[in-house]
Amino acid sequence: MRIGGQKSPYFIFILPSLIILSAIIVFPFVFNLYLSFQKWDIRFRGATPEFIGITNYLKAFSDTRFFNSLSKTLYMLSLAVPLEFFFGLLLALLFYEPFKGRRLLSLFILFPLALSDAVVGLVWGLVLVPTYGPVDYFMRILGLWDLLGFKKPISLVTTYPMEMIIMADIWQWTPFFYIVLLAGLASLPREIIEAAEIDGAARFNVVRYIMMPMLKQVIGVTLIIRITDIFKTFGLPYVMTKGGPGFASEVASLYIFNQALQFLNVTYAATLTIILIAAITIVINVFIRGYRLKF
Amino acid sequence: MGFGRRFSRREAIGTAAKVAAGVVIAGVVGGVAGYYAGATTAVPTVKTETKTVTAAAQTITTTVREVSTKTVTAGVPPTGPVTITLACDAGHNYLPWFDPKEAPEGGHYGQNQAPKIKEVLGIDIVGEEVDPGTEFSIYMADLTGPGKYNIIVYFPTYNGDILGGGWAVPLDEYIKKYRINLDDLPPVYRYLYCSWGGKTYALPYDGDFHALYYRKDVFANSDIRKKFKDKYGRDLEPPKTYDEYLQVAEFFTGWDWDGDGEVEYGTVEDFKDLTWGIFFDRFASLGGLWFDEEMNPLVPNDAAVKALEDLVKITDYMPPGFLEFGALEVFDSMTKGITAMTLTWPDVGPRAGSGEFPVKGDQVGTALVPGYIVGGKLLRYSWTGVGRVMIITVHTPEEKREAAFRVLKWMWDTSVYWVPSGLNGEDPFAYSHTSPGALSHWKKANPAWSEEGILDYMRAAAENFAHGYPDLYLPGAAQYTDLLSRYIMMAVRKEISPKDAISRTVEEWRRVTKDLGEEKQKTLWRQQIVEYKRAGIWPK
Repeated sequence: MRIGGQKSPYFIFILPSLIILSAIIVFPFVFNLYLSFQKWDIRFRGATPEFIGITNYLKAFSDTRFFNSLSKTLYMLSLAVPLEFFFGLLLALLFYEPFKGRRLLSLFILFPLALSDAVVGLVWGLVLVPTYGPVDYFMRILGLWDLLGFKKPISLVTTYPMEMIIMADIWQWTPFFYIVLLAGLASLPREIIEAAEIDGAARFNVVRYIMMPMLKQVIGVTLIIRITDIFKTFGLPYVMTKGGPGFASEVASLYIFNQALQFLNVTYAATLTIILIAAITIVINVFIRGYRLKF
Repeated sequence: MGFGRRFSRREAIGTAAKVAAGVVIAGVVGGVAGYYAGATTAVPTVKTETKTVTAAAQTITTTVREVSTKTVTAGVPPTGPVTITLACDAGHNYLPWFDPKEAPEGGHYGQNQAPKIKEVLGIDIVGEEVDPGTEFSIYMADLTGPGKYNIIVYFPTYNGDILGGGWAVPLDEYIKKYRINLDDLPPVYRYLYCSWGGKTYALPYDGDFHALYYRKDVFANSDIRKKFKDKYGRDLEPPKTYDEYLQVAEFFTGWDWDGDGEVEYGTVEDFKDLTWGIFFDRFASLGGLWFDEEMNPLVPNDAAVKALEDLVKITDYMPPGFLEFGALEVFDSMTKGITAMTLTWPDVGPRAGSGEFPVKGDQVGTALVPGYIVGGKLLRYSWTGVGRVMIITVHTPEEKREAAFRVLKWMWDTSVYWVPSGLNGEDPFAYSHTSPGALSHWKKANPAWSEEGILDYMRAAAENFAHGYPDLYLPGAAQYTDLLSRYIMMAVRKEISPKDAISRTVEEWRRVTKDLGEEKQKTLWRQQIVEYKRAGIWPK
């Protein structure tokens, strides 16, 4: 590269990173794309890939189980992200003004974020399990099962599997919105907010008309991160329900996992992955345009 | 002899050479004799009794043999330092290999064989614990990839993929050389767990079967017996048919029959992990088949619908949250006094026998699983799914294969020590495990169990062996059983009817067969049928 008639050394400095990134991002994607056009039964020793064109794609577009898994993922997206954002913003606004013990309380709020999906799934599974779990215990001693019209205690995880997974996800990821939005709020110019308050603006209106517009970019980026994360959700449904009962909580990435590693249909799983990547790209692009996010 | 005589150098060397040769020859002869003496297990004392069970659907002939306890191969020359890599289920299933609490006195009797193998055979076992939930993908990734494991312990459910896929070393030659007595295995394990296409590829590590457990003490309570008789007009006994099972479960649901202040329930089964298995106990007992010879699924379909309808009915008598109950929660339901019965794995008896749970030893009775009257005869089949087998992988270098087999043989020989323990999850798989010769080991491993209780369990175990029915061993088994389990759950949750669940399963199974290659699947299934016929459980 030449800049101002002189050779730029910058390219050479970033070349090693480019090579590594190509290896870990570009190569797997290209290999995945290659596999999506093959048929390869790896369970048999000596089996080799066989080119089959777009057969896998045609199969995917008539796979009702795949569409069911996409619908579960979109259901999770439609509930989890807005609620995580709402609770995270609420917490950020509450913690915006300093008070005694704020830092310590923040640590407790951030704790779920430090846990892996598997641990969160296990913990919530234990909390919700009938007979032994605390939720069932309190529901029984407070007579809430009767109040809600249940003849006997029910298993919340098997009756409302997606909702319980979403609840666990909200518990785990609300702190992410909290900390990012709190950082965003802290970076806002105080003079503007104080000026509005002096002028008699209500707190709600300060948040709505001054803080939120100034936080637009930050909010946009956090939403993109979480939207992408939801499409990748695997740990919680795997640990809590294995996608069941039936197909009730089989999200897209769990179905792809089953195809690849349980059923050994690796080339079909590769096809579903490509389609999922395309779906995520479309959703993110629609969001960026609709939200008018600027980079 | 004159002490003054002097020997020449030639005489001295000649004498020394003769002595040395004599020592070498004696050593070789002694070593070889010791090798064969050590390598041969004690000649079993065999008492043979043939039982024939005839039903309209099929005739099952089983030969129940009482075989004396196998002896450990001691005195075998070490093979020299060899390292064998092993993969096995994590947690309690790993205890027979490595158990830090194993002790000669007390502790976990009979476990921790790997250090003994190293001491006696000079074979160093490097073990790796594998999550059972994902072991299939871990093993297949290794078999199709780096091939670092020499021995893997896995569920025979994967036989279609692992044995059918050509990933295991055939063992017939070694079995013959080391004189392993496969007649000690019930046919369902010998032919369906361990063989494929007429060859033996595996030795058993765990012999899962389903058995019916019931609260013997509660069933014997005179007030409860009177109450039952008044209500149903017959004596309270361990149920022999699924209709009786439903009735007994109904009787014990919703009241405190053990006086602990808690409401109890009739029964519970493992819906969470192995849904298809509890369906198959019923379906097989109605004469059902995974596939017929033309790969038509779940034949006859109306028997499959009936089996599922009965499975849905019994759920009314299970504790809250039963759909989340895996194997351990089901065991706990018996050993913690939550249910009066359970239809599950062999572990319940030894767990009660260990004395570590509130319900102990003789409070738990074991019986043959219930069945159905088919054509006027009672047909009862116990699903022998899961279980575990040990294979030598094809990635094991030729020069290490015999050493790997000696490890398998050691575990085969010592199984009578570690199988009786309820702590490790391994269950009886051989007649010798359930013969009176094994009684002393059962007593050592289960201090809270009386001799009578143990003998009752061993008898029931042998009975369930004889009525064993295999899991689906075909490439893609994970896919077939995943679909069946999910539709069963939908029927249990009343999202769809049992008829709808079965018809959707049949449709999806046909699609899976087509995807995997219909002719290939048919060929492999017909190879399996060979084993079914050898085991005497294919309809005539």
